Formats: sequence, structure tokens, C-alpha cells
Amino acid sequence: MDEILLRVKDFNLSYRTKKGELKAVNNVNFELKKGETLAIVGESGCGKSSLGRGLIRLFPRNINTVKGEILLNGTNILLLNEESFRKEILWQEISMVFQGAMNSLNPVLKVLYQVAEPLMVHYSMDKKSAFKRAKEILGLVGISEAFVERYSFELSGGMKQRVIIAMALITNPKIIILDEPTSALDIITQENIINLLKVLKKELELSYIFITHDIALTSELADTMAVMYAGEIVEISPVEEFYNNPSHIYTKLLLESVPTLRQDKKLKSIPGSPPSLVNPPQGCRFHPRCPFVMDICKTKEPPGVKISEVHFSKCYLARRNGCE
Amino acid sequence: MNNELLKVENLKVWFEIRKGFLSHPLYVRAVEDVNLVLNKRESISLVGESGSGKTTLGKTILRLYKPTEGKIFFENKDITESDSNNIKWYRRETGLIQQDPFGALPPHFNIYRILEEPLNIHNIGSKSERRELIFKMLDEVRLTPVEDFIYKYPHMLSGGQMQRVVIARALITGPKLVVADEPVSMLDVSVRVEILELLRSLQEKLNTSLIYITHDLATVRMFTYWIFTMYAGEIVEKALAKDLLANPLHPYTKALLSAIPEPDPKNREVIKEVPPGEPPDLINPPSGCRFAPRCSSRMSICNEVPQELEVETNHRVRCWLYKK
Amino acid sequence: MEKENDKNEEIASEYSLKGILKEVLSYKAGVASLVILCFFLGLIVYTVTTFPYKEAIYQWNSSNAHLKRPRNAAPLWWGIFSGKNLPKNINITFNSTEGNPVTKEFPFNYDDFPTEINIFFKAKYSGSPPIVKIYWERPDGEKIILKEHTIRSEDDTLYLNNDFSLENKLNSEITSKIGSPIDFSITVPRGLFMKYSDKLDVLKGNYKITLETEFANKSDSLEGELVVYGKLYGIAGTDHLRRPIHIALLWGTPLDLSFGLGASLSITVIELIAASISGWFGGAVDSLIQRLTEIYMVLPFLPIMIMISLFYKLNMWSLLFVVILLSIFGSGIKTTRAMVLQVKTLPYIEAAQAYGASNWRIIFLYIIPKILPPIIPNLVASVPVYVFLEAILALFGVLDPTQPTWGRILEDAFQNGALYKGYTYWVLIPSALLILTAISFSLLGFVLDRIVNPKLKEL
Repeated sequence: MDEILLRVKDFNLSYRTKKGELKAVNNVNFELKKGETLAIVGESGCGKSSLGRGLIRLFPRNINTVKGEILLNGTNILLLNEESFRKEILWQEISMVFQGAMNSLNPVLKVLYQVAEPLMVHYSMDKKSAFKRAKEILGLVGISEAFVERYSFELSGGMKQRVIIAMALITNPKIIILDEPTSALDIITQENIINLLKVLKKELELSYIFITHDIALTSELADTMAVMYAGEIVEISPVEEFYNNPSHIYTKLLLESVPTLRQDKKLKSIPGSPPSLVNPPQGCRFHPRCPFVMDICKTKEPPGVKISEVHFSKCYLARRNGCE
Repeated sequence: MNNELLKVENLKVWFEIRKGFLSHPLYVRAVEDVNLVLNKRESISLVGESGSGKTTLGKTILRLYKPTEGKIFFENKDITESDSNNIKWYRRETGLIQQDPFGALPPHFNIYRILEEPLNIHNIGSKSERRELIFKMLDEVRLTPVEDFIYKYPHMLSGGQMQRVVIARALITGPKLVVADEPVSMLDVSVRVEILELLRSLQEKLNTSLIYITHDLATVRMFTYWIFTMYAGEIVEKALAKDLLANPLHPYTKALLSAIPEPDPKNREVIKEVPPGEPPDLINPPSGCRFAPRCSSRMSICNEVPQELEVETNHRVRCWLYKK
Repeated sequence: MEKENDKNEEIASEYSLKGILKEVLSYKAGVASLVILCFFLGLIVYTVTTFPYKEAIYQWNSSNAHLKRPRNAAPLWWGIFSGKNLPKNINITFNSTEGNPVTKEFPFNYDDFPTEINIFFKAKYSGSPPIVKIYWERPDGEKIILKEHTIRSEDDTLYLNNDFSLENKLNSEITSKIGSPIDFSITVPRGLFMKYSDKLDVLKGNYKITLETEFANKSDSLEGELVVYGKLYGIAGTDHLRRPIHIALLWGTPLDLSFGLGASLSITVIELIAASISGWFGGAVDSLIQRLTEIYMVLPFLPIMIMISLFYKLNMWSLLFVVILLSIFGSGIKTTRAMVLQVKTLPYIEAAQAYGASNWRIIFLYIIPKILPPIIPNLVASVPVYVFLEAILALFGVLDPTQPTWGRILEDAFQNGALYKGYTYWVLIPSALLILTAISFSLLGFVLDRIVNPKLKEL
């Protein structure tokens, strides 16, 4: 179905730091359709984690400004008061699998209890039904009955991550934000988890926002790719176009820097390093590292170019590339 | 043999863990029955997931751990039993590049001092000769202009720059063997290629042998000659790089190769075949072949430990599926 | 990784003194502590340059140096609290060479009576001693003969307070002059300065004292000093031995602070090294040091100190040595060792082993510099602990009484019932200094802790 679940408009986040105002997320716009997986890729410091957490209003202590709209089924969830947000949206409509969450499981609680706890606290479910439901979900993610009564430290990395996914699913959300869900896992375990995510997506009709730095990995799940750099989304495109017809120079360079097993290609890394978000470069934030930089890139922020209905790029050269 | 730099025979590295004051000690059998030969100017990639023992093996070869059983020969000298007093010469002949650039450099020394330390310890050169050496090394790792970097402290550098210093430090005493343990896994994706390139070119230039430890097979193509795959403390397959990638023999190697995500949008629709389960507990590993519990080609004979066989020239496997 | 870079930049400020100073000044507590510390530093500089130690010891322990100072006088500025204008010391000198008889006049406009009146004579004679007649003239014109006194020796002092005949004489004369019954006793100072009324009140005005001397030989001479002892003296008052308290306050500052700093520094350094050895080498060495630490932690510190003091009167420096000896394997070792164990697992330690660094090199060049910054706030904050220790030990009578320290003042005050007798300043001023010490070092310690410990920064 082509129903649009989530619409993010001109989302801005900035933090107060000792050195000044850190503009972590700058004018982000995107849409998420039902049953779609949107992958947000970027390197460290690009703001993708801030964006992910910001979508469920998880702001750090030093939050300075929050601007823009996050429209979930038409309602701007940024404007809801704390209580209705917590009761109706958070974990009910959108939940999140945090980076490194598997290391934050409570070591003194049994797995079953941990997964069932939100049901007992927020839904006031009685213990028996909450445990029953938790067992169901854990079975769904592949944790057998035997392991359900164990403590988290008795589980392996892959199993812990499954528990985290179960905790994200327990309240039947429609959207799950996954922030580097497999980065701490071995490759084979990673594949197992990705397989699980694929199956769940189909069976439960979920939509994912998949945040990662691993570009090759995203192809396993993503329908749409969004590339983030220095707090901005510089390109959004369907995944095929991403690999076959990247538009933004950063996207192109990124693809060229990733080693792959089977493709024999000349690899190049991107010189320089990501800019400070307290004093980002004027104009296009990527211009100091761009081999094709033009004068206008240094002064004026490039507008988004609609290469097609579904392909959008923030690069002056995109105009020239057009849609091929 | 004249060309042989490093020879490892039947190496076992077991770590003792005591559960209580009086109870029996338990052992983590991190490395089991490893044999390998490394010639001068060759490089081996040690590939495996976490817990495979690759890091332990690499560090034991450098004598940072003491072997429990077996022997290690360096240039035909037996270094298995050497203790800290008579191993200092070996430290000069070897170098270590670690995974975490942020932790690998002492924060209270500046770059010049960091690079001077190994020279100080081994009394290499006069003060002015050392200065020359340090400058030359910084130039080799492309931290130029050198004068800008020598008085900086580690926290002032980016991840990539720090790792260059780590490489410079490992190579400054002119070692014959360098062990690089996941040297780029903590760096940004776009920086990895550069660092690996650097490592490769330096290895060739300085005629050093390299043991490259990684879980990311995709990077292996860049520079190694041999690939050894490790699983649960054992080396399960040894082959020349092109042979292993073209024709993997051991079921684990096959699973590893197929589990690596390739950037192909069609992957979304495919549920990959992945061996279920997790690597075994090394305190109580399965008797016989350690991969058998997860292997789809498991046979009854797999309860016995398979011996290493040369199935083709320069291609050895530890698997009952193959006979000479 | 962005967070890592921020963490690294925070570590940056630790490594430059200027940076640390700037950061300390950015906190109000930091400014306050530095101000107080500068004050102490100023005191120390002043004391050391204007008042040599030998001199101070002599004055503190001599019985003769303070004869002309009042006993238990309050500080000059203390007078504000009583509302009355309390008398200060008045010293009048005479010399027979100025004439015979010689009269000196002095004003006395205070609201309260002097505590003592003494006349110090210095006579030069051969043969029979001079005989001196002393006349006292009040502002109201009345003149009485105080005394007719034969000089007894070359250095002779008239302690008029203890002169019973004078006291009786004044008593009978004044009572008859007043007529009505009175409810207070007439002591010599009161008798000489009071109004003749039934209410005890000072007769303000100019008083004259005349000395008429009869010399046996023409070559004889007589020098005299009349001291009318006030109730106020000096910047910190005087104690029961007439010693100005400020001697011990001034010299107490460098003595106490260097004791505190010395103890804190030595103990911290020794603990640091022991903990590093214990944590790094592990095994038997570790067990030994840990068991030693545990035994130390169980030993009762204060009772042992008191026991030692029964056999030896300790001067400050031997006390320092004993305190250090009894504290080095204290609980600080356990926390430092925990830090060492953590640092031990850092990659750069392993890297150092890989390029051949020896154990001792690693301990002193790699581990200790890393764990030093978190230890410094502790070091600073524990200085007042040892300063207070000195004061407490003084109260227990452990210390050598010949050294002028703050603890000494408090001990003397306690022994002489200062608070009971109303000499509050005797206790208050050294206590204030002790408290200031505690405040300044503790505040500085807190501020440094905030700077050095990045997690606290977010609070």
C-alpha cells in the first residue's frame, strides 16, 4: 500500500555545547510509507543517531532548539504534550532498537520479565497475560521457551539482540527505528538477525527506519536510501537508483570507498574529515572535501533538486546530471 | 629453511579462570592446535568472527600471551619459553597495530614522544638519528607537514590520523613481523581504504611480513597472499587468497563468504541460508569438529577431530568432507 | 566516535596548567578558594619575612618577654562587641634624669578599668638603694600618696594589684568618702580610677603620676615604667601567659599548612606507587600489599598516636613522620589500585608491552601519569584533614608545647577554660583559620574534581 505513515518536514535539532550551538540535524525532510524500509546511511558524526532519537522525542539534556514537524498519520507528534506522547505514540506507534542496546539489558531480571514489564506497567496487564504475550513475541524472534527464563548475561550476542527486537515489538508498533542493530555482531549472526527482520517485516507489516554506516548491509533491507552528511540529508533515492545512479558527489565517493568482496573496483577514500557541526562550512556542508567544488557551493546552500518523484539530491551538480 | 620467518607448531593457548577459591580451574580454550608457517615478506590474513581466537593467536605469536602448549619459532629461534628478560630483542623485531586508535596512544605523550619510545627502549640511534627516523616515519605515513604533528597530542587528531601514528610506531624499529589486529574496524568507512592502502604499500616497501587479523573478508582482497579462516580457536582452512575466494572448501568458510552482504538491491527479497546458532562456548567446546553442531553437511564422523589435509596445492582444510 | 573526540578534548584541558587555572577560575567556588589561599600565602610570606622562626620560638617559650603585656586581653577590634570603650595598654616611662620629682600626665577616658597596674624600676646605685615616693593625682584634683618604696634591687617591679596595704588603704579611704554602702569590691585599679559614688564607674580625665626619689649618692639614677594594663591588646589578644596570640597564629600558618601539605603529598605519592605496583604485578605482590592495607585499615589511628605520645613528646616534624608512617597503606590504595586495574586494560599499555617497555617503565611513564589527574582533587581536599589532625592531637596533649601552632592555641585555651571565662576570641580566631583552611582546600578539591572528572561535568 502506498499510504504515507510518517512525514518529517524541516526537522531541525540543535544542542548547547561548551563551544557553542551544535546544529546536529539541519532541515531534514523525508517520508515513510507503510511497509517501506528507509535506510539512513552516513558516517560517524553525521547526525543519524540524533535524528533517529529525535524522531521519538528523545532529546539529550543539552537540547537547544527543536523545529519542524513530524507528522504521524497527520498529527504533529512534536506538539503533543508529554503524557499523550508517551501513552499513545511512544512504543505504541513507533519504537526503537538502540545502538548497543543489547549491552544495556538489566542483568538482574530474567529475559521474560524484561520483555513483559512494559505491558504490566503501561497497559496494566496482569502478570499472567503479560508473560504469555512476551513468550509469544520471544518465540516470534526465535528465542525458544528454554531461554526465556534465563538472565541476559547467559545469552549470546545474537540472542540478546533478538530480545531487544522483541522488546521493540511487544506493543505492536507500526514503525521501528533501528540504530545500528547489528554492528556489534559477527557476520553470520548479523545475517541471522537481518533474516529475522525481513521475516518480521513481512509477517507483521512493519515499516523500518534503518540507521547504519554499513552501506552494503542496507541493500539487504532498504527500499529507499537516505544519505546523511553533517546533519543534513544530502540525497534520497530508491535503492536501485542509489547503487546504479547516485547523484550527490558524497554518495558517489562513499560508494567508491567501500570495499566489496566480489566486485573488483578501484577503491578511493574521501580526503579530509567531517566538519564541526558548531561551525559548519558555509554553503554546501560538503564543499571543503568535494573534488568538484564550484564557487557557488562555497557560499550558497544548495536547494534540493528533484531528480524524479522519488529521487532528491542536494547538489548543484545534480541539476546538470538530471535524471538519466 | 632460509626463507622461513615464523613457525608455529601445535599451538594451544588456554586461559585459566577460577570460579572459586577451592574449586577446579576451568579453561577457556581460546586457541587449539594451530600450525602455521610464515615466510619472509609474506602476509597472512587471519579471518574469523569474534571468539574465533584470531586475536589471541596474533598476540600469542607476539608473545604477549604465553602458549599453554606447542612451540613458536622466529627465525629458527625458539621463543616459546622466553620470559620478559630475554624477549626484548623480539619486541624490536615485531610490531603490533591495534584495533582502537583512540586507546592505543598514551594520551599524555605528544606524537614525537610516542614515536620516540620504542627507539628509547631499544637504544636505537643517537638523539639526532632518532629525530631523523621519526620525521621519516611520519612522512611515510603521510602525516605531513611533519612539524605540524610532532607536538600534537593524540586527542587533537582524527581517528584516521591516530591510526597512522599507530602504524608509524609499529614500524619504526624496522620489525620483520607486524601483527595488525582489525586495524580499520573502528574507523569511518571512507577512511578505511586509505589506511589499508598505506599498510600494504609500507609492508611492501619495508619488506615486513604481515599478519592481518579481521572479520571483514572484503578488505582482505587488498593485500594478502594467504587467507586462513579461523573458527572457535582452530584454523579450519588455509589457502592463497584467490583460491579461497574462488573456491572455498570448508563449510564455515562457505557460510562466511555467503553471509557477507553485497550491495545488490535484490537481496531484500531473498532470505539467505545461514548456519543457525552461535559459535560454541570455549570452556566446553564440542568434542570433535567444533563447527559440526551448526554444519548442514554434518556427518557422524564429525565427532572426531578432523586433521588438516592438503586437498589441493597450497589449499589445506580441516574437514571430514575431504580426503586426500 | 564524535563523542570520543569530545571526551578527548576534555582530557586536553588537564594537561596545561594555564588551562586548569582558567577552568578553576570559571567556577565561583574556585575563585573563592583561590582568594583564601592567596590570603594564606600572604600571611606566610609576611610571617617568614618579618618574624624569624628563632625569634618566634623564643618569644613563645620565654616567660620574660611579655611582662609588659596584659594577661588574657582581647584583640583591639573585639572592643566593638562590648559597646564600651575598653582600655588599651598605657605605658608611661620615667627617668630620674628628667628631673626629680618627675610628673607624667596621661589621659584615661575609657569606660572600663584597667586589669593591672605595675611599675617597673631600673635602678643604678651603689650603697643604699633609692627611696621613691609615688603620688597619684586624679582628674578631680585629688592627690594621694600611693606608696613609699625602697628599691630592692637593680630590676625591681611594683605589682600594685598584689599590694594589700595599698588595697586596704584605698578601700577604707574610698568607702568613707562614698558614705553609703557599696556592693562591689575595691581593687587597686578600681580604687585608683573610680568615681566616688556607689555605682562603679570610671572617672575619666587626665591622671598624673609623680615620682619623688631620694638618692643616697648623686650618681644614682632611677628609670621607671608605669604600665596600666588594658583589656585590649594586639590583633588577636593575649593568652594566659601574656603571650600575644598572633605569634602562634602567624607561625601556625606555615607550620600547619606545610604539615597538612607534607602529609597529604607524601601519603598520596607513596600510596600511588604502592597501588601501582600492587595493581600492575598482581599475584603474590598484590596479595601482600592488599593484606597489609587491610591490616592498616583496621588499626585505630588515634589511640596509637596517643599511646606514642605517652612515651615521646613529639615535635611537629616527628609527628609528620609518624602520621605518614601510620597512613601510607590506607584505604586510598584500594581505590587507586582499582584505577590501575582499569588502566591496565587500555590498549596503549598492551602496545607498550609489544614494543618492549619494561614493567617499571610502564608503571611510571604510562600508568601513573594517567591516574594522577583524578587523584589530585583528593590530594588537595585531604590537606585540611591533616591540619585538623594536628589540632586534634594538640588537644589530646600529644604535641610538643614549645611550637606555636594553631592546635597549641586551642589546647591552651581549652586548658584554661577560655569559653567558660568569656575569652571567646582565644578559641574563635584559630578555629576560624582552621575552618578557612578546610573551606579553601575542600572547595579547590571539589572544583578540580569537577574539571578532572568528565562525567561530573554534565551535572
